[in-house]
Amino acid sequence: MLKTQKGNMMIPVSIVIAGLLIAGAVMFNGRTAKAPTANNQVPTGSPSLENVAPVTKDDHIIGDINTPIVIVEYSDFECPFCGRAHPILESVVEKYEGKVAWVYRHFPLNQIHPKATPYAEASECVAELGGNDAFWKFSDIIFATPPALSQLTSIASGLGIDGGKFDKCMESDKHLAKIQAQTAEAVSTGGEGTPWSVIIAPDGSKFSVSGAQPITAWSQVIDQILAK
Amino acid sequence: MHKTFISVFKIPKHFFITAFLFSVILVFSIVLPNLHLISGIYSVFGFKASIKTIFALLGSFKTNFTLYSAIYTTLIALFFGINVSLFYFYYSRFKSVKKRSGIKTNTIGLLLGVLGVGCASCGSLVLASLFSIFGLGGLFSLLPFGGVEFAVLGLLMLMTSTYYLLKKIHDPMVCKV
Repeated sequence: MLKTQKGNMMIPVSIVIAGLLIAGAVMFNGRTAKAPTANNQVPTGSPSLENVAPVTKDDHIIGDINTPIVIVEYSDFECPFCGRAHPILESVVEKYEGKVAWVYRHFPLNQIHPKATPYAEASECVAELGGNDAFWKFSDIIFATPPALSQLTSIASGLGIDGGKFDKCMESDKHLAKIQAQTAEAVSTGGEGTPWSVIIAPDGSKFSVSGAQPITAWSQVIDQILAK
Repeated sequence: MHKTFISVFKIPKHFFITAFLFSVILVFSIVLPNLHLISGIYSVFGFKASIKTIFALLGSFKTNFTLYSAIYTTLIALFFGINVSLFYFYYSRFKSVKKRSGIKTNTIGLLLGVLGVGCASCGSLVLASLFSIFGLGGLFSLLPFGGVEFAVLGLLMLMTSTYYLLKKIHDPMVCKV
């Protein structure tokens, strides 16, 4: 009798264990080790969307800084999913012209994308020498067809930027600190991969979007915010 | 073996269990990276808005998955549903027969199947989280495919479990001499 009871207990016990495993997996999956910053220091403190730095005129932005909704995207130029997200966000801004602005910040995943930081530095040099429009044109080119690092100068020249000044900028690593700071910021907001976006609503509330989401998903969230 | 499979799934109940679980696991796998968004939408805009958001996020199966990750995610969800239905069939059929050894090995099969459940971006969800609990989360960056190995491993476990369950159902109920 006792042996039979023990045998019958195996089924419900195994179902409970299976349920606990799944529940634990769901719980702990959101607490995996954070991506370290470029200098391998893992930011301290709990991640929070409130750690998004305020948007300023120094940001790379499409749209007006004072639009009701701002999407702050933390992206990696070598990430294929960021490449998919790029034209989608262009469509979002086009669809919600005047209501949504898009800010690009860096989140290069150096562990798996060795060209990501050089791409990011190149984009900052292009922005410094050619302005905001040049930055966005450069990002379109990089995402469309990721080039060899040796081609970056010719790409910059194609955008009307002095090749010599561009090379000097790249060699100086003057923008590296900014890229590292934005990477740390992305991690501090909870970003664990790219693309990672934070939607800032007019009332200051924030929503995170992970991955390359279709325009229907963006529209669903934005429409809710605008309707409020 | 395929006749056993057909005989189990021609019963509507088992087909619907599989279909339901397949749908739940697949949807969960797709929206998993954005659980924070869904909870944020729910807390600000309510239940209806969060459900609409879940449906809107399903489109990321096209934008946020590669062909391979879409395939193995679908297969994992499918084989998980099949596993549970087969296990339910087996348990329903044999519960009146106190075959302790059958119940034990089938339990192992189901647990192995659970380990296989996962998603595209995280590989095998359960295995990945277990690794992280034990401080081995960094292992993924060392793996040649960045953790996708676990999704494949989980799928193989589920397929093995399915085969094993079908075999158990197929084998006649005899007392071994």
